[in-house]
Amino acid sequence: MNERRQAPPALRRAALLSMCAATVLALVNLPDDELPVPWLLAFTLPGAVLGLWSRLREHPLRRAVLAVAMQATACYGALELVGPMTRPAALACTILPPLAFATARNQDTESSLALFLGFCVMLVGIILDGVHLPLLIAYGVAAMLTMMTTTQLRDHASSGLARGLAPARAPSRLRDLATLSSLLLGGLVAALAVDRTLSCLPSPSRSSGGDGAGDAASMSVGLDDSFVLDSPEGVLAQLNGEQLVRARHHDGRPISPALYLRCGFFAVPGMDRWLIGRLDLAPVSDADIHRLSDPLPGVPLEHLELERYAGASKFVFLPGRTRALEGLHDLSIDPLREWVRPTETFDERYTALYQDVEMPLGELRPSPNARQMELTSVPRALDQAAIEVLLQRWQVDTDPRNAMERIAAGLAQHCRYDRSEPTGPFQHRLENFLFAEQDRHGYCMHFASAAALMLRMRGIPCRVAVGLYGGVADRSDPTARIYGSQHAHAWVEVALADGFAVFDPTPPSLRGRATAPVADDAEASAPEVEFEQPLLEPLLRQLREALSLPWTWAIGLAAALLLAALPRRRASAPALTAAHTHVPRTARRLLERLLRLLARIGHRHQPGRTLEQLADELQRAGHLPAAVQDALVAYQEVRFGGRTFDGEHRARLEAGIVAARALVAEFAADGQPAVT
Amino acid sequence: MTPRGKILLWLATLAGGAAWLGGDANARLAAAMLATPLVIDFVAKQRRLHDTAVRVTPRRTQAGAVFVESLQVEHRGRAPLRGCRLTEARTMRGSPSVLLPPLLPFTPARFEVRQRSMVRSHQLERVFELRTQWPLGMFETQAIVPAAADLITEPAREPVAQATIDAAFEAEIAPRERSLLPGPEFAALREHHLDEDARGVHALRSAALGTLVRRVTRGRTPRDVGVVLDLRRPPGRGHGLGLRRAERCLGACADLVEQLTRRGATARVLVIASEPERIEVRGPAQLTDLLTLLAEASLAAHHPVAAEHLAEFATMQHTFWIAAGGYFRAPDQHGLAGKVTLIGREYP
Repeated sequence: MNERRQAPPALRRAALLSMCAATVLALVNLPDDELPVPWLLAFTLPGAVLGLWSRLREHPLRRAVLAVAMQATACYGALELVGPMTRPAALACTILPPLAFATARNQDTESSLALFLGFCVMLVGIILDGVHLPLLIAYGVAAMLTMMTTTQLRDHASSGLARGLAPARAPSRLRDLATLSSLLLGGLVAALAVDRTLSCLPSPSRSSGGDGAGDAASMSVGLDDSFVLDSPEGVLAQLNGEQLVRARHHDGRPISPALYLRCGFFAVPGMDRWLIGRLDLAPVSDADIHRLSDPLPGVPLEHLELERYAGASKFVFLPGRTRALEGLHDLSIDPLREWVRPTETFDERYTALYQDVEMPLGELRPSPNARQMELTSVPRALDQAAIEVLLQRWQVDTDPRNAMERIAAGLAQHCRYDRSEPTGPFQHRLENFLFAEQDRHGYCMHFASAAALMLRMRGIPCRVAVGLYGGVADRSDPTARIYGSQHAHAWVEVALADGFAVFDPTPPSLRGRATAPVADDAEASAPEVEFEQPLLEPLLRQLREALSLPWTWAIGLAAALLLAALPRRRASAPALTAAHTHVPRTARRLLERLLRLLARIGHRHQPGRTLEQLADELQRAGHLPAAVQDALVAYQEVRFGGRTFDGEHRARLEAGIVAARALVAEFAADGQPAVT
Repeated sequence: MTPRGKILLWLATLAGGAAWLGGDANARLAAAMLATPLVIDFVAKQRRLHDTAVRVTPRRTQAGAVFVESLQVEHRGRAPLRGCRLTEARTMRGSPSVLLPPLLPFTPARFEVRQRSMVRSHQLERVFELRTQWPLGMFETQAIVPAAADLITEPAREPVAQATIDAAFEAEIAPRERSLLPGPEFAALREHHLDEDARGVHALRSAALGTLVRRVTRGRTPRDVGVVLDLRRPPGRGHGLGLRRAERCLGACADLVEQLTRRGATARVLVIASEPERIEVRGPAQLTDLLTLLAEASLAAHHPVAAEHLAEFATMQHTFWIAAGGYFRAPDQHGLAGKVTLIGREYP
């Protein structure tokens, strides 16, 4: 019967290449510092050699013995070369030998296995070292190509040969390429849409942070309310959008670039992650004005109008020493800690009443509620002795003012600001930030968390605050400032007797600079130049805002799935091209005249009907004189028969018209046709 | 959904559940990466597969015989049809489906496929099945496409022994000068008619004369031979028994009539089924009708046959009685005056 055929060599090569690419990309995504190259080779080479060694397939025992020997040798070599690896890397390495084996062996069912194992390795790399977007996209493309090619290979393997007799036309290579590209592009968009959709689902862990008002004693916080040092996650990552908040003073005074807008804080320290800690929430406040604390006597209240855009609608931004909030409803508030979150996200504008108080010159007294607010503890895993050495070197004492100044100066000298994660031999980012031998670098989160821990070690209560800083002047209103995710920042708030005071250990020129640390500073302080906004800019801004909303992606995904599931309209066959025969205008005119005459006796020529059908109808009705029939034939001879419209044809058509006219006259005279 | 798709859906669901419960971005990313192939496959999978038309010419074959079918496939969807596998349950059982090359919309393509119909039957409609897993193999689309075309599966030939036929014609009066060799003997040449079996054409004489002439044999093959195909079951015999013998008997009937026609005899065939049917086979046209009848034949319950149906056979000198239903002792055989040769008892 139909013999099974081998897949085309090009397809087999493409399948092999795409699978190898996916595997290699997954391996490349593993962090070098966690899993050095010798260890990577030690866990992949033996498996790959065994997979390629086809002679051993019939001898499983020999293969097992050889595998153990090779693996042991490779591990010993790697151990001698680079020493032991970390525990997470060791866990990741359990997947590597089967991955290498399945990839190298490359048999029917093993491509799926290799793809799955590669996916696991990719995921481990992401967990260990975060997302490297280009690598991830490349891996996605390779994985989709692998799935496509393996599907085709399986089709070939399970099908017989159909000998093509006359395959009319195959899709062009360009069309194939376009289809492939659209699939790959669609895959990337679909991945983003699914990710965004999942992020906007009401997760139990996330919702506990928002509606925990009823739990007055304490609230458990989810990952969104954490301050993660070793990944781009956490509350700062929730601030998405180039324009998040617009701030302006009620009286039109310009906003200072040094204004800190806090949207969250973290009190419980960790080596990799700070947590919000205990909250003592008051019942949900539905008043128009929410009082947080009593204002200091003699200091005027400033009215700061804040307008939140889509990416920041679930946060409330507070300037330092905020005393009251206006224009917000349904708030969960912890007045002691100045923690505010809306339970609904309907209100876009509100006013914060705050007091712009400089740090007093005299002695700073810590807050008496510091212990209640859990602002003094340090993590157990923290190497306090090592930090103590730094503190002593920087001559940091227990006076808050002295401690803040010395720590800021010491950190500025000891560490370098860089928008990359601290790297080094230690397990935790914070330790690498402080104690790496060569390049100690980090960004605001690391500066703030290190400074906060040092302050606490000196007994000064403090916490890490996150929010927005800097901003850019609004082009339409230079007194206002607009903050975006590029202005996300972290700093320290020291709990003093009269409230929380801002202490920012990040070097001043680098605060609130997410992307361009240098160029933007001048912009922050320089006056803005008014220029005309392009017409498309508001539209593009709205589009960007809409795309930054997860619901947009969720709705798009749902719409795509719905459209795909709906029955599609049947495709219409391509219209047959009519023969383009030139019929002289005279002939057409004569025919039209004839048809008009025939219509007068009730035989209207309908569109879409042929002249032959009309002749049949006339014949059946007995209204077809020979001259009329001959005229119709004469026209068809010219129209389709390739005859030229000469005198003879003209005469035949005219004779038909005469006959039709006579027919009409007879018909009009007695209502009966003369011709039968 | 294919097994691959089910596994991926499970994994994506697990990862999505973990992302939802824990709010972990890595779990969310994993769920997104796992769900992406499902989404893409669902959106891009081939739809309107049933808009594909398969055209095929009427086919006449023997049960179990391999033939090469020529199919014309035309896809009438919007997008090209890719990775489509075609199969026909009746004629491609146990053999792999056929992978079609990509088909552009409204562009017919012709293919040759090796097929084999195993069951004697007469189908008025061919039923093809199209399946595709393009592009990522997570979902399989399937469509049943009928094609109005006869498929006549004649019974597989069961050779009737030459000796049986010759023995039946022992009593035939032979000319005095005929040879002593068994079987028919050359008598003369005559003009060949187009509806006759070409195997009787005398090649050398045709070439010499410039027109087709055929051999006329004489001897122990009578001019008219009766063939009674009795599809009745014996009284009290249940359904489902003796089917294999019935098939062999039908094959023997076809072979017998073919041999008789080849020898120049006229076979008067009576098929005793639910409704008795009579065919006089003089040439290929009638033989085709008979074979179609045999392709549609089925065993019938026991019932008596009206005498007028057998009246014609009562006077014939030679009658083959093929007891396809296993009714070997039919009393109707005794009413035949000539020699009756019973076929079917030898088949288990």
